[in-house]
Amino acid sequence: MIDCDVHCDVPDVETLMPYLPRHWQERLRENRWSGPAGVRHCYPPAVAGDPIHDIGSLRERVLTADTEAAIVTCYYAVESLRHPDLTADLAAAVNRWLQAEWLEPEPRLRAALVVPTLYPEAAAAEIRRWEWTDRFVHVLLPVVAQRTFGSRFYWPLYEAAQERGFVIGLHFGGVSGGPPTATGWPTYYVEEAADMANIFQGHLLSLVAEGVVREFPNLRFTLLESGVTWLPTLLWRLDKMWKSYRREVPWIDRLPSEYLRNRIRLTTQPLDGPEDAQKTLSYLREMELEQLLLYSSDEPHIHGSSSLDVLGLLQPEQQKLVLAENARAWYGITEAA
Amino acid sequence: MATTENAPGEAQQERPSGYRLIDCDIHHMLPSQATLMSYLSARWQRYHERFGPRRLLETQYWVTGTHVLAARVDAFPPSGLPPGSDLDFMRAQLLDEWGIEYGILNVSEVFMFGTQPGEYGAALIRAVNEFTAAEWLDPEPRLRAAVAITADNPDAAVAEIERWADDPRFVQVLMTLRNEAPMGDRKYWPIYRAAAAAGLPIAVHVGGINGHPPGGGGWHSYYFEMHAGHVQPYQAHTASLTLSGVFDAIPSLKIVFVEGGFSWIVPLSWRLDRLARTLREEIPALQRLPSEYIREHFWYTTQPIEEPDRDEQFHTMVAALDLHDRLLFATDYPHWDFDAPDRALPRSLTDEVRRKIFSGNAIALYGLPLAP
Repeated sequence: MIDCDVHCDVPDVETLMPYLPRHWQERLRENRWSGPAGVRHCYPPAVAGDPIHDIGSLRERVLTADTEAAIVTCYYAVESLRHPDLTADLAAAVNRWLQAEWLEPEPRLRAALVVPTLYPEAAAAEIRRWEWTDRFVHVLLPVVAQRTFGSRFYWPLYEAAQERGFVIGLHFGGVSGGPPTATGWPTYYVEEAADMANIFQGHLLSLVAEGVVREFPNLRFTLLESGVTWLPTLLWRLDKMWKSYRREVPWIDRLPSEYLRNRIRLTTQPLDGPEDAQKTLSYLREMELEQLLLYSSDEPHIHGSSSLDVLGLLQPEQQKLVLAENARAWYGITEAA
Repeated sequence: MATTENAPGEAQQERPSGYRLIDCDIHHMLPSQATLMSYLSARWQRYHERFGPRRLLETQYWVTGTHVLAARVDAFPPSGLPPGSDLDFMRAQLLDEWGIEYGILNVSEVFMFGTQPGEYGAALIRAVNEFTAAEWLDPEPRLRAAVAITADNPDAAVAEIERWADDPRFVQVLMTLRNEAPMGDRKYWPIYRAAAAAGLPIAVHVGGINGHPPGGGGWHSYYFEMHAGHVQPYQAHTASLTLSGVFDAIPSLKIVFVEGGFSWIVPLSWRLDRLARTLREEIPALQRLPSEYIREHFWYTTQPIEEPDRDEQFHTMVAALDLHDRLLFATDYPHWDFDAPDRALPRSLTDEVRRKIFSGNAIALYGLPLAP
């Protein structure tokens, strides 16, 4: 199996100190800073599960004999800091920590590259610091953001990602400073968790409308912890609207669904559907979603059910694709010897 | 000029669609600033002239995306008035042409006036409702209308609902899609209590200006994105309403989503049920699953109709939440993306379901009297 979304967490700021410039070490210690508030904001204890802080617990709790590869996501909410150097240096520190303490000791791991999304030029520089062989496979863009991800603002980041062969990983969570809906602040976290799917939808609209899918023909996008089953209704709407608005976005020269189906994949956890797993499977089939799926456990986050309940019902051939082969092709992960 | 004297419920000579028709989303508007002024007090006339509407900074997307007033090119009346502001022309082009028995008016001014601040917003909305009653409902018995409100000024909104509660021609309350908070927020509950007490559903229509980027992912650049993205706030409202407990507190509250599509409600109901179960500790008082509230309290107008790749996918979505009884036919006249009654619905829908969507569901929801 290839697990495309497993979460590890920075245990405390002190852990990152060896990877930070000296002036930040002094400043952050002086101020007794305990890390970006955004981490807890996006994943309060009720959903965070028992955090995985070291490679030992990851091996023990998540990696099994069946795990051929796993992509670790370390969400550190660096976008909740506006200082252009601090946000960039923290991102770089997380990546260096991931490399030294996760990727090097565990050959089965790949990782999401943390970048300062508020400053695309700095993000591009961070991307260019790494080679494909370093086993960072996608660039992490938390979806709650100040600007939609199709915006020309981000194009320097995409240029670097395309140049280095990175996939773009759009992920649940993020901090924008503003409300996470078009109609203001929700009352409860549970609403925000539901609303996160809408935010993914907005970014997909944007990637099409702004022409990123055309401008960066080799750039691909993985949707992580996004949910899956909402996709078809969005594609119908996009295709319908595009027929009316082609004059406004003339660079989009074919149906948006055609672009997106070729350029996006979705991770399987959480996988919402009717209570009867067989019905969820029929839905995935009827809506032609199976071929877009990459297996993920999203450990240790709490979702109330596992996508394996549904994926377990797939025919063996199809199951092999979703559990490993789709990811292998998407990320170019070579078969273990 | 074609005018008819058809009373609602009378058998029509012709029904081009072959079905009784109720159009659940028609937009009329003020013919001129002078008309607005005639419904405003001297205080607000002066204010409107000297200061005028605020919060307008995000209304300019149409410049590149659509054309004047988002209207059908043939909806500009020979009188020279704006589309949707000439009753005679609307009678001819919409009510008579399609044999519509009832049309429900959602006044265009709500999109700007409904989000204007303070007493000014309240005065504008009151003026618009009076205009609707006097110039549209009085002369045309086939028309019904929504009471427009300023949702983010709940005191004024409640007063407006109460003002029209005894007029049976006002069949729903109209709020904009994008407000200061998601709809389950308790600040809006007094509005819902007033509407429920008057027996009026709350209709939510695309529009509104609130300063928040459309979606937590930031501002968009194109009208295309804005239009396709209207489904985002509808989903946020659904999450908020079904998780807030408002339907436990106000069991007769009914919500009509206008011009927002409907197929997204199906996967959303699955997502909400899982989250409500998993995060039950945050909302322990909630009495039922979100999907149960959705089945009982929500309706959807059809325009712009969903167009999946295959008809079967349309039927799958409708069947998943028994939406046959929840879809309300709408044309969105006079806007450019008008859904024509003879073409909008998938041809493979059964006769029985078509009858429900074209009229039966609206008759039941709004309690419209029909002749036998």
